Amino acid sequence: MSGSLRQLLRSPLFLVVAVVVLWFSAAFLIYPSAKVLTTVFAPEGEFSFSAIQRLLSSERAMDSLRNSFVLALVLSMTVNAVGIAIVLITRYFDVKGSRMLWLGYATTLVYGGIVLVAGYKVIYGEHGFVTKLLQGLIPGLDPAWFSGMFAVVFVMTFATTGNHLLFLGNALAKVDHQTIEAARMMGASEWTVLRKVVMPTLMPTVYALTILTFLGGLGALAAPQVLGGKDFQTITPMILTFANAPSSRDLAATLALILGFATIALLAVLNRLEKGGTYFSVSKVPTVLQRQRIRNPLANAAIHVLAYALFGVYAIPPVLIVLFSFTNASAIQSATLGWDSFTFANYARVLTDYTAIWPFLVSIGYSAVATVVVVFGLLFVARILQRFRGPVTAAIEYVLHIPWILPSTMIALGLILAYDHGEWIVGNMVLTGTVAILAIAYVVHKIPFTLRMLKATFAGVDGHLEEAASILGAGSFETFRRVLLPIVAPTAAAVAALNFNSLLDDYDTAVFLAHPLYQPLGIVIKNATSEDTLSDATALTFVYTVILMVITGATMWLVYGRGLSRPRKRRRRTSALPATAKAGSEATDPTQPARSLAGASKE
Amino acid sequence: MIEFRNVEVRFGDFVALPDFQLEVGEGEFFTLLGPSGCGKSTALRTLAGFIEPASGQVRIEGKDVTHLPSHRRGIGMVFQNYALFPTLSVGENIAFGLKTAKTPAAEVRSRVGEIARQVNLTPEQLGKNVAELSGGQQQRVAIARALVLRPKILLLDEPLSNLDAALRKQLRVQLKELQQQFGITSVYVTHDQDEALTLSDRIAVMRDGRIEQVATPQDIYSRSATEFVCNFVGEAIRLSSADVAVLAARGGGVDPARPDYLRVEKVKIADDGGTSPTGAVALSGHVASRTYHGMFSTYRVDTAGGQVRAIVKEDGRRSYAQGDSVKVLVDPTDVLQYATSEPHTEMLSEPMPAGVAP
Repeated sequence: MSGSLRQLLRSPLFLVVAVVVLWFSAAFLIYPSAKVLTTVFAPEGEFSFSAIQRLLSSERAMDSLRNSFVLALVLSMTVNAVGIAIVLITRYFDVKGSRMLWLGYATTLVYGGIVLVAGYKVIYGEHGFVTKLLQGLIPGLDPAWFSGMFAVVFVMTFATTGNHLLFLGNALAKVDHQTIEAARMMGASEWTVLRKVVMPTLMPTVYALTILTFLGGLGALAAPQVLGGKDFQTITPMILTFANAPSSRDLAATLALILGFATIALLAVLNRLEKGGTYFSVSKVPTVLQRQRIRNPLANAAIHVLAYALFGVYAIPPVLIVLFSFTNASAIQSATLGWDSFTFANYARVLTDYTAIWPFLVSIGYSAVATVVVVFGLLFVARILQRFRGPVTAAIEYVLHIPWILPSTMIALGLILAYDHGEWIVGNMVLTGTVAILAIAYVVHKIPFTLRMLKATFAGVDGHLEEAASILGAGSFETFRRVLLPIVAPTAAAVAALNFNSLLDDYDTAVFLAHPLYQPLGIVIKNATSEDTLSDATALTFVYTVILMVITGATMWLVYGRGLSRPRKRRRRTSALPATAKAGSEATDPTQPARSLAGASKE
Repeated sequence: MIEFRNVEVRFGDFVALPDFQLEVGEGEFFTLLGPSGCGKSTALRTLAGFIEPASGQVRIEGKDVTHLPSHRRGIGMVFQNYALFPTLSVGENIAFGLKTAKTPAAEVRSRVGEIARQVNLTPEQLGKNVAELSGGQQQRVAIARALVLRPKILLLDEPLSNLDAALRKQLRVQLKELQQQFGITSVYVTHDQDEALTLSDRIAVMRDGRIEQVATPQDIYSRSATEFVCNFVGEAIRLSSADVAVLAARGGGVDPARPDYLRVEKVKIADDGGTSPTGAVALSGHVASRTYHGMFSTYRVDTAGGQVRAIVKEDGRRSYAQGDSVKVLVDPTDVLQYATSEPHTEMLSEPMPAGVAP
């Protein structure tokens, strides 16, 4: 028995935590994943390829597989093109109004997933405001012009560039300006400097973002489901369809497994790329990057036109959503806005009508419960993993990272398959179809991010503090309570806020597991987009979206922006998030696999 | 007061302290001095109870404390970065150990106030956050936190290393005054020879987990027991075999077969034609370079046997330029001789000043 394990077993508190973690890991991480495997390869209890054979003979399933890979490939190109362009516009080139442009491009950081997809559908869709306007200009325009692969690629392209804005932007900021000056002095043109000096330093981040974009495309759910139409369906919507019928759950499991393997393979590639060469600045005294003036007037004008055209694409949907949240359904449908179109009735209804506010309450309830459970529980787990290092704790840590490796679809399906009947590991309870299963899935979903952040924070705490506490007579629990907890509390609060935020508009997990009477916001918003005509429900969707944008914006500001806005006189607390998390939230952490793009889906 | 008996500390296969033996007397300010990785911090942490030795005993006041937890050894510790709790105020930091020991609130207040006065912390400072204090004030908080529990022993793990040079000198004095004021047995770890020489009653110079010499600062400097100590503490030059031969030929009583060192301040330079002081042996040479430092100059003189370095106080009366013929005066009684040459030649070879050809 290793020394660290022996130490762990001496502490009753840590022992209890270890037992709970082992049970939770076995019941909700390992067993559901194993259940997916057995459903595919041993549906009748004996090894068989029947599920794979059925899948191969299903034209719809094979089409969805092909569509998913095509979508992933196209998105890898379009997202990079737009993402790199907006980063260069806001951080590298001297473009007028770059701060305002950044705010416009960053709108997808405060509204994403099903909310964004629904917003685009309502504005650009068959009955959308923009479609009506365009039909006035082009009388023969097909009202369903914004559907199929084009619409999916368009929406997902602009929805997922938030990662570029944060992470590629950060990478660009680290470029040593002196290297640019040195290249200039040697006669390099602006284009050559960009191509030969700047871009090579950004390549590791671009590679990482490309793979994550690819994974996002592969596992996309909301965008293909809402905008893809019947001709452009991808793997995840197909998994959902198959999962709804018990007779085709083996097909759903097989598709989920393919998605899982693809994710693992691409993450392995990502890991290899990350271990590659040194691309960062080796300067001992790097200088701050200064914006580059574009000397060629034509090129300068072209960049400005592109910058503001992109700004329009990014900013118009949220602006219209805010606007229409104050109008009635007929104004939205007729695309005519007059003073008498505006009303506070939608907001009043959301705040006073029980049925209107119910989905919000359900989402808040689920998000709050999952957040509290995962953050509180992992405070202890992270501490144990950080303190007692050994093969056992390392294995537990790997298991707890399963939700990062496997798509949320596969985890949700695994839970359905594992607990649609009683199992001793959960006290012979049937969990599928209950209120609890979605909360469990949310907890599972948030484990890796929370664990990573909290463990990094514990690791960042000066080890001498514990020794100092110990020499002053404090036991391990007292040291945890009086010394460590106050230090990690700001991070725990920030992580809780980000978790709560990203679960609030979840659709991808809820659509598999939600109880029919407790439908969270994501599902209600999605259902509103399925209606043939625009109705009051559409107006309510806009109100939900605005409220979500305000909550997300406030959370982002509390977690990231507050410290930057004004220097604090007293630094009583440590910073809210460890350095590894500073650049962005979970949903935008490029070191976090596909969940950011495919799952919580800033699609 | 403190005793290490045959202590062996291992980290996996690496033996950090092999058969470590040491005794520290009551009330002593004792310093463990040595280069990075020599085992001085390991010895201190073993004494503190953070590291359990593989074998041997650690004894305090004659009692075996080898397996006692750190808070039951009656020691206080000041860490390299002070390890002040960032979420607690200055007063709360100092009171931490008392509260942990469930000391009555009134007594906590009184003892915190008393120790704060003794280390010159004001009542206003007690309410502040530790991050608001200067480096020197933080050090005093760390000392107060360690001393408020009235330990028998105070351990100090390079507490001055993170400070700038001026503050370090100032705090050195304060530290010594506090130690004398409390009369507490102190074990201090440092790699800074100036700190060790200034503060200590006795010093143990360590290398590779072993003690090379334990002595007073004066003896460590002027009667370095080993070639390593001679090189690590102060500045010394190793005489070339040719120079040693000259000294031996002129009856200097040096043994050409042994490594011979001279403290650089013991080497004198005089005009080539002048008379030599009684007992001094003169080696003829030419000034290769002179580096001016204000209070003194460093000369490098090429002699027949090689280059000799000398530190000469600047009195404004006489100085030599590059190429001047001089004689290097050496008193053979100042020569430090060691039994065998040790494989630490990198410490003996002196880097050439910039611009000076070898």
